[in-house]
Amino acid sequence: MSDSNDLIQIGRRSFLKNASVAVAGVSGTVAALSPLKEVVGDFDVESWLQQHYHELSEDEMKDVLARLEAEAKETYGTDIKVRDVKPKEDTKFAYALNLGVCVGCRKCAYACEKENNVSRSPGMQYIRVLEMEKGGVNLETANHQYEPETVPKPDKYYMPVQCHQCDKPSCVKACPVNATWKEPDGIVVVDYNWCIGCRYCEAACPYWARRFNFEKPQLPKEEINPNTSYLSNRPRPVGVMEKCTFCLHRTREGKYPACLEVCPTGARVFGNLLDPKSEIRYVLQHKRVFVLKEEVGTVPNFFYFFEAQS
Amino acid sequence: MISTFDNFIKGFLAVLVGLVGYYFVATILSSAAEEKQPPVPREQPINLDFGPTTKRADKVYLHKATFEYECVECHAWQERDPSPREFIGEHSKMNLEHGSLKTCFTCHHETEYDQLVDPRDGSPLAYNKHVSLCVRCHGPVYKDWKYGAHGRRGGYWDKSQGEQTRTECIICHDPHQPAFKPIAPLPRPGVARGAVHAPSDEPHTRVGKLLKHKPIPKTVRGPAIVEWEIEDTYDE
Repeated sequence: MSDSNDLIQIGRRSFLKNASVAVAGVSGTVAALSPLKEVVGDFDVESWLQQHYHELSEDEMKDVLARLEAEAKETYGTDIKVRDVKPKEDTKFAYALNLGVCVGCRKCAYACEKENNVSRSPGMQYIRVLEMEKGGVNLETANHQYEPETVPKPDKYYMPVQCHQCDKPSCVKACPVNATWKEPDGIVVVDYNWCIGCRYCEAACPYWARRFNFEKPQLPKEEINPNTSYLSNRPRPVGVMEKCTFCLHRTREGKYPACLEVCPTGARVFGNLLDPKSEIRYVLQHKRVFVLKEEVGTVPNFFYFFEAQS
Repeated sequence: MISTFDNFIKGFLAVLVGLVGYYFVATILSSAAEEKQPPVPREQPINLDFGPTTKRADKVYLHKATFEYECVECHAWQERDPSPREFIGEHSKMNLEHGSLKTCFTCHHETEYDQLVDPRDGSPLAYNKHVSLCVRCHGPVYKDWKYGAHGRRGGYWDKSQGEQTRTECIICHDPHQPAFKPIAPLPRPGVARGAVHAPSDEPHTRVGKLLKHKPIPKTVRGPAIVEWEIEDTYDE
């Protein structure tokens, strides 16, 4: 009886008072939570509960790959194949680039973008081609926004920079959740489903080789590369880091990376460091190679050399 | 005490109602926003060639008015002139800028017009074996090419898994003008090419409407240190 009495006793004044409190509470909560809408996006329980790449069993991995394919189909309306390409034994990848013949045409950057399903807008390419003053390696005066009518300009040379797949990767040390690590064949990879998007690795990298998905990746349906792999070029969610993986879905199956195949001057050399007859070993043994920012001690697997050939 | 607890419950309920209401409103708004912006196709797709466009010729012909002429059809009745000379007739569009080479018969055979010459003994050499002519002057480059430090590659780096393609000298280099000609670079990074967003929703356009930035400073990290200056467009 006392309960019903209490209910009856709510007068107009107290009702209005309580209602105004409620309205203030509701609007305050909405305003406070509105930034969350941008971050959370489409919430998916399965991807939220997914384990780290190293803790997934084979069956779980199969389910994950199937789910990723379904997600891509739903998002982009096209069929893609997501695989988990494992590293080959007795392989360690390395790259060399001849700065004497690079003309700075940026074809490598765009081939990479296409091969790796990198978001087209805003354009965040893994490879930045730096226009450098002849006579030294001065990154302070380098320019990656050059737009001349034709390249190369006579007083400049061009230096493409991408992930150097370091042996002592500072990005891996910086990651607080082990979402990025170095694979046995030397490739530094990211588990996009484990990454929390803190961008510590981007700050730690001395080569600015890591990119962050500030927006939901924009990919035209007809330009999506359907041959993808879990650790490299599968479509990424918003708010995670991504990087060059030497096209591991290609290179682990014996193919050249896309940036090498597209280079019109043949400036790029790629191969297995552990094979004494490989092309990369020939370059390391016969050319005066150097690494970028040797003094920071990251021990890169990406070498530059100047060879004016005639 | 009871009234404080009561207010607490009321506040909690208000927050709960707010959350549920927010969820519904946000879902409706976001779906409406997605429907509004159909993706716009790019204006200019980027064309990349993943392999050399020219093919290796076994024999050289003159293509003129849908007919194919062999070299001998003209040269049989023309006098041979081994001296340095201008290109005339059908060759007038050519330009010889190949080091110190000035004469035709350094590389072409004097009597076998559709063949090259082997400089060691003067014997004719088929066009598809031109590498063994080039190597006579360009030994170090040939060695680099043979072991993979020079020239364009394709296919498989691991020859046990597939075929490796490598291009021969004259597929990339014009033998009469072997130096590469300057080419147009592809657009600089960070520029929205065409539009994947609807044009009005392009992030850089959105910012650009209100802010006009000074020229981008030349740093490695690009437009990291940009001093923004606000343009007065609020009057409209």
